[in-house]
Amino acid sequence: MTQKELHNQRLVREAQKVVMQQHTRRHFIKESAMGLGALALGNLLGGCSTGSNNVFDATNPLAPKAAPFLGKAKSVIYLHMAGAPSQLEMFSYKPELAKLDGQDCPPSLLNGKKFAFIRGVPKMLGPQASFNRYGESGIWVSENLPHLSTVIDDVAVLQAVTTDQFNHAPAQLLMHTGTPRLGRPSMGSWVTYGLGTENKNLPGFVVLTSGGNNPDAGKSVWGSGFLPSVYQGVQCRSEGDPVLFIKDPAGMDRDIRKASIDAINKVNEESYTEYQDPETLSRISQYELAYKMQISVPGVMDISTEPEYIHEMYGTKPGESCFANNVLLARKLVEKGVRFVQLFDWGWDTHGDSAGNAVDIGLKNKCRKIDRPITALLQDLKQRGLLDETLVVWGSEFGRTPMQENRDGKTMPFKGRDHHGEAFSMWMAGGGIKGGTTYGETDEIGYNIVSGKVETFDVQATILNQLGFDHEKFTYESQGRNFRLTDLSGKVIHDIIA
Amino acid sequence: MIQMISAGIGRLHPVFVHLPIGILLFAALLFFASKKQRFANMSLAVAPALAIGSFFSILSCITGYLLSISDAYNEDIIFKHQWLGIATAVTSVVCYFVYQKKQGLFGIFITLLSTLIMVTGHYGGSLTHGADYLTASFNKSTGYTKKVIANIDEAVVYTDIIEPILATKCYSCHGESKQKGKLRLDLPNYILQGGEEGKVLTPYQPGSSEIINRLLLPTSNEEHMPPKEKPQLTKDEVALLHWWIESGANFTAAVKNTKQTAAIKGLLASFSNGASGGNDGANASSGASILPTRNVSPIAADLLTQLNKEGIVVVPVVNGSNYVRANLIGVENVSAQTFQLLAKISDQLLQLNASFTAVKDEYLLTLSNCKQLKQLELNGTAITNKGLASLTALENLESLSITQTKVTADGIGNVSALKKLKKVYLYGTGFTNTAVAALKQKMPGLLIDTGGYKLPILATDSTEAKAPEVKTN
Repeated sequence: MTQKELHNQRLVREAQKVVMQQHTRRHFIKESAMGLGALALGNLLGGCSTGSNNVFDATNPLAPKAAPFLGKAKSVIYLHMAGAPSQLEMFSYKPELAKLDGQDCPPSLLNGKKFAFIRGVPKMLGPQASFNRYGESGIWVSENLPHLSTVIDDVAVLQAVTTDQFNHAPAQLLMHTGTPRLGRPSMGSWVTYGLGTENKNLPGFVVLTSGGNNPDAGKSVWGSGFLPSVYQGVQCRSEGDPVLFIKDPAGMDRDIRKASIDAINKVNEESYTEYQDPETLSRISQYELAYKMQISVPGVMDISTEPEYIHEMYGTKPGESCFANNVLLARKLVEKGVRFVQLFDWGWDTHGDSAGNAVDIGLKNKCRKIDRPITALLQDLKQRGLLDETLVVWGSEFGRTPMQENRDGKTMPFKGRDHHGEAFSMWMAGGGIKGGTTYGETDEIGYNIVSGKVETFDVQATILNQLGFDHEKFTYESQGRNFRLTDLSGKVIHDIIA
Repeated sequence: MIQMISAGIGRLHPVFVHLPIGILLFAALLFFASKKQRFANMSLAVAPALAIGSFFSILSCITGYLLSISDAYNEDIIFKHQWLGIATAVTSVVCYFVYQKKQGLFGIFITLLSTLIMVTGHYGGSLTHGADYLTASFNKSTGYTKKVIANIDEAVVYTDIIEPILATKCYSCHGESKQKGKLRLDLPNYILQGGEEGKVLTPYQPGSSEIINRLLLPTSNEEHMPPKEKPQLTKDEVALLHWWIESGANFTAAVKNTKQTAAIKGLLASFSNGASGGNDGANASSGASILPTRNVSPIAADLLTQLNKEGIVVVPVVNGSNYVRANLIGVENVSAQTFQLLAKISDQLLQLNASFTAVKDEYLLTLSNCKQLKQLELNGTAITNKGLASLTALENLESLSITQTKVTADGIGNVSALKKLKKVYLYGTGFTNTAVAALKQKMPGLLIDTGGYKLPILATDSTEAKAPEVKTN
């Protein structure tokens, strides 16, 4: 031992001695009182635990689970038209509104109301599409949806959906997460948490977007909130790499990838042994899933292998990024056991500020792009025996006003409608839904609800019910209390259930 | 005699115990307040308050001890409560002297004392009201919510119906934390054992069962249970208990193995449709029909491990049921062995999805033992009419999907042999229109979907809507 080391040792001993000397009897009593108190408090608080009832196997978070009830549906395809399509040009037939076209809006409709863009007194705007009754059920459908009208007997139309949000992002969050604010898990995350997935090589919750943009609410609308992150939606693409950042870098072969993932997982396992954090296990399983997805996803996501008549049916164009391709992909994914497929199609915000956003021009083009693929989807699921078990939901975050938008009190260059949360249309099909029904009624201009009001929570409660959940009992404990997708409300819409 | 007197004194514990809590905490309050100039004169009251508080805390210890030996309580909690109580009494006396001699340290002691009082009080509360009393209001699941039972016939009378009643109405005094009258009702052997006054029930004879008699006494009677200040059993709950004892007070019997009067049948029905449970899961009852009425044993754990190892996903059709559905989507190489494993769960297997796998005709022969099978999906596989022939033994099959397979019109006889079949999906097979018509004639109720739907090409499909051109002259 060198002189220096000896010196250091002595210094340490001296320092320790000083500390000991300062540790008086008073300190001892003070510390023991504190210690005893803290001990007792810990014990006391320990007894306050409400006992978490989160069902979550950290080692295999996506393991398939049985639903509490026998649900009719095993999977969900949710088609969300981001931007809010006009119900008045699609499903809500209002001949009285045509008579009012061009007249000033009566003050009774404006008093106490707040609009996103309408200012002063707007003009009423008649329906910009003609309607007809279709199918045995005789449901009114507009000329904008010539294909969907042929399968309307498989569809249950909700005519009086309502929301209390009039801006896109919060309204989308409310529809999908049960709150207009950030931080709660999305519907798909809840479902994946509750049911897991039967195909271990694919994510349980897949998101596909089209129309050129992500929805205004961003990725939170398919986020997992306070649920373990493994339940969040995995965004896939129909063009280029199906899943971003999943391809091995150039020069790395699959064996090296496997070896490195094994090594990382080994380190993670050691870290789990030390800290027992379940998120570590969840991370391990995510690495493994990603590795498996490298092989399984490109196969499932490749629509070019589908026969020509299927492409003709859906109107798909392999290699492009479009709604039709996503719809076909949704069918393929459900067929392969994916639990929840969420489609967002952007570009429905028809304010009338441009031709593309006009209810008599742009809206018609948007309708044309979804009409054929959605109809094909319902038919294709049916012929494969999947429609009984697959719940298809079509909707948006809100609807549009029967008045023509007059942004800042000025006349718009094109015919457009403002955001309208009071009443709008959605529909469901398959998965135990009674086809050929309509539920709810709005007044003769589609402004307010007359009967059969459906809140966003009711839509969620119904979807969960079809999968076999009681939305009031399907909870997750976070920050000391149990949370539900439907928050404190929600009623199952029994009238549309077969 | 002495025992009775001591027990009587012991019962004064709840009276005395609140005095030191109030007085000693008040002493602490006075002390801390007196540090402020405005309340300085309050310090005069600290010593007398401590003295009185100490006196009553000692008295509480004595009465508490007498009470603890006269009745049965949870040993673990009583141990903590007893020694913490004694520690409180000792600390309160120490506090008194510390306050007289050395005020500098008093702050620490009085804080310690206050903590002790609260912790001791908490355990005391746990003894009288049950350990989950504080949290019960936050935790809805501990309250009695009538659970919806999808298949009431398969339900076990005791665990699904009786136990929840006992848990909510009886356990707080006759459970783990407290055993009034030395009686526990939380486990079968304790129920049979009875309490200090003997047996509480006689199987098959509800009339001579003490538990029923006590429940039926008027609430004003001292012997009535539960005590009148506690939540009472509803008439329906008493009727269910009565029925259970009448059926032999069996702890494992299923509902369907009991005799049921019309009234009981009505009560039981309310379990399956969730009536008076006030929930929205009413759809459950309509779906319950797919479960066979016959009871089935669960799949053995080691068999389940084998199935999982093979990659077969096996999930109960509904939570809590022993009937399962299986999915072969995760099996890397579907082989004869896969189907041999499936044959081992033939009693439980209700639904099988083998679509898009390498299933071969000969494997399906093994499947013919799965008599319970109701739904079979073989879409996109290489099966032919030969495979279809081995399915004819599936007498309960209701839904068959064989789209995109090599099955042809000759397979029609095999399909029509499935007497219970309700739906068959034949898209992409060799089934001709004439074959479908013939099948329809044989089985008029059968839904046959041959698919091949085509959407017409409409002129509007390719007409781009454009803004009218603005004339610029």
